[in-house]
Amino acid sequence: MLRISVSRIRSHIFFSGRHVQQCRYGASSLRCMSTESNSTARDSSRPADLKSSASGSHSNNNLAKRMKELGITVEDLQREHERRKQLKNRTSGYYALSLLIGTLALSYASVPFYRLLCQKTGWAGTPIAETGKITADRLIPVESNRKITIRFESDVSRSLPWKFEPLQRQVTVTPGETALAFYKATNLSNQDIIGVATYNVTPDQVAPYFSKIQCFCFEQQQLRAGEQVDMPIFFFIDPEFDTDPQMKHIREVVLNYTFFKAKTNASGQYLTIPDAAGNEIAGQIPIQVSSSGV
Amino acid sequence: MSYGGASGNAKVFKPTPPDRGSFPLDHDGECKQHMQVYLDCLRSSRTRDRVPTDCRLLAKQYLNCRMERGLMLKDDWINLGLPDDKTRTNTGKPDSNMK
Repeated sequence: MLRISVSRIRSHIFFSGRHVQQCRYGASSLRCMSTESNSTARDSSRPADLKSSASGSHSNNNLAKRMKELGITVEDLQREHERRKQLKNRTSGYYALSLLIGTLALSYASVPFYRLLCQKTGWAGTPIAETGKITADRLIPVESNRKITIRFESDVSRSLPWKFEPLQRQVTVTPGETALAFYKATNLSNQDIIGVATYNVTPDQVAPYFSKIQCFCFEQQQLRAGEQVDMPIFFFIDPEFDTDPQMKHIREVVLNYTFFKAKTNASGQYLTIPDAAGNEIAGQIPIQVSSSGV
Repeated sequence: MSYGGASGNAKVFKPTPPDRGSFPLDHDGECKQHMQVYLDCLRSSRTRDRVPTDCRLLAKQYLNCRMERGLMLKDDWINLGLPDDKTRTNTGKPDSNMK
C-alpha cells in the first residue's frame, strides 16, 4: 500500500509546498531532529482541497498525516525504495550466480557420480563390483530350473599369430549352477609369445550376473613356439538373475573371449595392454596369481 | 585393470577379473585326459538341456586333477558348486582329502 500511495503522497505534499522535518528513516525506527507544529496545522487544511479521484484518497490523507507526524519525507521513501530495490537486485544476482556455479559443479561431478551409480546398480551392463569372495550360498542352482544357453565365441587380435577357439559350441546352465568350459590356443609362430585375454558378455544386461570363479583372462599367458594349450573357464550365472524381471526373456548369452598380444619393454615389464578396441592403453603390471605349492 | 571405454558411453562394459584369479596354464597337458573325457560327455549330451550330473562329476575330476598338480588352489567342493565327495561313487576316484 505504501508503494501505491507514494506518487499520490508526492503530489499531495508538493501541493502543500512544505516539507516536514529531515528525518532518518531506518529499518524499523525513525529518528527525527525536531518537530514543527505549524507545518502540521497548515497541511492539515490541504487534504480537503485535493482533487483525488482515487478511491483510496482517504487512506492516502491519513497516510500523509501519519508520515508528517513521524517526520518521513518522500525522499526518504524514495531512498528506501531504491535501497530495497538494489538489495533485491543484489540478492537475485547472488541467486543467479549460485545457480550457475551449482550447474557447473553438477556437470563436473556427474561423470564420477554416474560411474558410481552404475557400479552400485549395474545399469547399462556394468558388472557390479564384487565386494567379497564368491560364497557357497550363491552356488546353489535355483529351483525354477530355468535354462540359459551360453554360446562360446573367440577372437584373436591380428597382431597375435595364435589360433584360438572354443572346444564346445554351447553349454546350458541354470542360474547358480557352475559350469566348466574350455578354449584351446595354439601358438602358430616360431617365437615365444605372451598374450592377454579379455572377455565380453552379450547381452549387456547379463553382465552384472555373469560371475567367473576362475578363468584365463587378464593375465599374461605365455605360449612357447608351436605350443598348444587348453584354457579352462569356471563360471556361473548369479542366482539373482532368476528373480530379475528384466532378465525374464533372456534365454541365450554369448561369451566372447579375445586374445591380444602383450608388449614388454627392455626389462620385461609390461608397458601397454591393448584395450577392447585394439588401442593400446597404459596398463599396470599384471598380478601373478600363485598356485599352491609354487 | 582398466579396460573401460569412453566415460560418456552408456553402453560401456567393464570386464571384471575372476574371483580366484587366473588358471595357471597346463603346459604339460597333465589334466588333458580328464578334459577330453569331460568334453566327450558334453558332446554326447543334448546341449539344450542342462549339463548332466555325470558330466559335472567329470568336471569335478578335472578340477581335482588340477588341484593335485598345483594348477589350482585347493578348496572345498561346496565352494565351487560341485557335488561333495561324501557319497562314494563307483566310477569316480577315491575321495581325496580336501584340506
